[in-house]
Amino acid sequence: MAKTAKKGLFSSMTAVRLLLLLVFIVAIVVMDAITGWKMFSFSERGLNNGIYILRQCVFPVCVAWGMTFIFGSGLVDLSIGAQVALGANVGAILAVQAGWGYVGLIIAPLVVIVACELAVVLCSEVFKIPGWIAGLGCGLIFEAILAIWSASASKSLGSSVINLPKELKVLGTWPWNVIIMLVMFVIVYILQNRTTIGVELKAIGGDPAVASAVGINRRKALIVAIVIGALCVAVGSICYISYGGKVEGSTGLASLTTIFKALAIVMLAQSLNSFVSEPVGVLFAGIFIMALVDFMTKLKIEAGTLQEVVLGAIVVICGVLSRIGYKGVAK
Amino acid sequence: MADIVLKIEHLCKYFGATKANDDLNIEIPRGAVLGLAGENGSGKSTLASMICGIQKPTSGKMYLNGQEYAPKSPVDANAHKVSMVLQELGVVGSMDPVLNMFLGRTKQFAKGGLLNLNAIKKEAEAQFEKWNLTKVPMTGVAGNMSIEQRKVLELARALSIDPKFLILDEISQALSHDNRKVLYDFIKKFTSPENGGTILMVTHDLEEMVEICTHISVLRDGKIIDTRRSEEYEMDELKRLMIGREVSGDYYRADQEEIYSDEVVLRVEHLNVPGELVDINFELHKGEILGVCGLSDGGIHSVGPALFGISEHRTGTVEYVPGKVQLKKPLDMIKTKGAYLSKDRDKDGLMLDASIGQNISVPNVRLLAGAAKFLSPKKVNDLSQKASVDFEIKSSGLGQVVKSLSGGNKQKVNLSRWLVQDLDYVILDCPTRGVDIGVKAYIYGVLKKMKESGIGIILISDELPEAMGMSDRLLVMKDHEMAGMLSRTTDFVEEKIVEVML
Repeated sequence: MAKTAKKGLFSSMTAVRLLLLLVFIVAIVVMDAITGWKMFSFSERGLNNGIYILRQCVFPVCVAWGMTFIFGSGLVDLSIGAQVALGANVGAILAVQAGWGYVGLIIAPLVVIVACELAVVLCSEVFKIPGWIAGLGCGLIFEAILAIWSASASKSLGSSVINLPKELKVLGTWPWNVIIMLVMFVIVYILQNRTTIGVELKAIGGDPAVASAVGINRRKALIVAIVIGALCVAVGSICYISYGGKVEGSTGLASLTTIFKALAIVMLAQSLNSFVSEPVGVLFAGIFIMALVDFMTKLKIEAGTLQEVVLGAIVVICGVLSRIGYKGVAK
Repeated sequence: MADIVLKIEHLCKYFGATKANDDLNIEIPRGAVLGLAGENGSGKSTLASMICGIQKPTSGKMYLNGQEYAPKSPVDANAHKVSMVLQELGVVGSMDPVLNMFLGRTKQFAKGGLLNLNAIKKEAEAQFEKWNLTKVPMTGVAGNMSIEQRKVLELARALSIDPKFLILDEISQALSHDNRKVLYDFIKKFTSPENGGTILMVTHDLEEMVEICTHISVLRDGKIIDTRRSEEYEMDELKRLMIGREVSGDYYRADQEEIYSDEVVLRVEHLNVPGELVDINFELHKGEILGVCGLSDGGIHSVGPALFGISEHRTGTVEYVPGKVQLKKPLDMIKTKGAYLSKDRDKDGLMLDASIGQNISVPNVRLLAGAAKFLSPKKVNDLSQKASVDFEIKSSGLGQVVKSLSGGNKQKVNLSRWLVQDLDYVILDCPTRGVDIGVKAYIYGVLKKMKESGIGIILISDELPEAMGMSDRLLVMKDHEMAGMLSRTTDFVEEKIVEVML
């Protein structure tokens, strides 16, 4: 007969999760206290700063969810920043100049980013080159396309192609952008944890040889994962341009800076994935990192230097903590 | 006339000029356990992989239950109730064990596109219950499980499709004494008339093969040399057919004496690793082979990592006595002319995607570096070449990628990279796991030479005959503690050792 383990009030995993939640809350409270309780204060326009933090989360968190699908399938694609800029600008052009309104604003980034991501996969699979090299190569091309395009557009727009008018920016405003993020969370959570797609994605990312041996069609699973990931990135891109009104392009792979926070969120979430599933980890890591950025801004720590140092250090520390107890031999 | 489940006719599989399988003809009766005997690289795993749809034959036909059978994929084979536990491929380490069991088949648990995780877990537990398999942890990730637990999980996964034809490719090599008994009981149950299953079994343990299998086919160089009922084989004849030359009946030590120097090489005192080892004490002498054996959960495989200095929260002392050096981390062992080979050579030992030359040279670069720490490519190449020749590694050259070698040759690379050094002591955890009788005999020969030259050897083994056959003393472990220290001169009787284990 099988023995049934006696359960206490909580399983050890639940206890660890509760502890993590407690650490998260305490960290936010400590940051709030250090800023003189300004992190949840109301602005002159009556908007709570906590909501501002949540709004700031939407873009990097959506992109980070996309990355969990793309990176999870084994493809480390660093052209995502360039895809975001290209997709957002094509969407804005169709929305404003072609007069398609929200249809253009939503459909175009979805199509463009899925197409870009498939181009990267195709490049990697057909030419048998590592995904990160294919991604960097394609990223340079995507950046160049936007740069050439924006050069022919109005000079007043800098390196972006077009500015969104106010009536097309609703998806970037409270509460719609946060609602979009929460809906995305539910979809991503279900896809990754409760569907065959999620299981096959983890299998091909974890061990492609075993996945193939048990009959998983690696290429099909890869394409599905990439398309879903690209769709998540596209949603982030739509919210991004709707929030700021325009997305500037860049060259020389400077588009990587657009996704730095999303990358930090993914790394932080991965360091926690022994305790919580990645979609949940991404959400909490996103809120934590954006709260940290807000906290540092309130302390007048400059963006671009010390803020990134702190973010980098947090990611490294979480990585180290997650490896405690790892059993293995360095080859 | 016997009820034939699987009939193979003129089956060939070529990889370029290499004939992995050449004109194979076999008939397997229902309820049989057919053992495939052969050296590493004789084509056993290739045949198994064609039956389960991983590879397609170059020519020839297979018939399953009288119908032509040509599986396009493992899933297709599963649909025909054919399942397999693979030799090399295992589980996806980053996923939980329950999902691993139904990988590629999770759709059956989906309703409206959503997976019923509780149903998956219940079905997983039911498989363990149905076949009385040893339970494995079902939480966490599969990568944290031991090799043995992963193999049991793979067996449960293979059984979860309710197969009628099961292929077991070197599964028992990963199992310890007690779990082998569980496996044998399972085989009896699976092939009983009530269950009507048939098994194709690949194993390098010939005693096990003769004991468990009803029939044996011998493969050599991709061809079937002979097929008979197992009781018709004499052990020496079976070895000769496999290897193609005479192999002495006794490849273990011939002497029955505990012989070694009084000089102590390693002194281990109060060695503790939380949850793994409790108060281990022993001394290893020059020229001694100290065997370590025990049941699967006895803790024997925790000894190597603890001595090597990679176990978390280790306490107690491990002293290299000649130099009076405390060994706390791997580098301490390497500096004191020691070496450690783990049980899981693919995961913890070899760099599978690197070449033979790179694998051999990496642990030796410190020895080869000049005064300015530069490496001479000639010296590196000479050392790799020497190791390759000394250990008779069959390959196309030093540039061949290790992943493409057979199990036995992989193990030779793994051993040679350390043993080519001038060592004082070595810790070997299951050095003959997954290697054929020819390579086994070769490794035992190497161990005997090392012993003669005064090297102290700790031989951790899941195989009791191996531990008894080679050791001077036997450290028997039970429940993570030392249960006894037995002497070759007076105590090496199987019943006595098992009694101490239990």
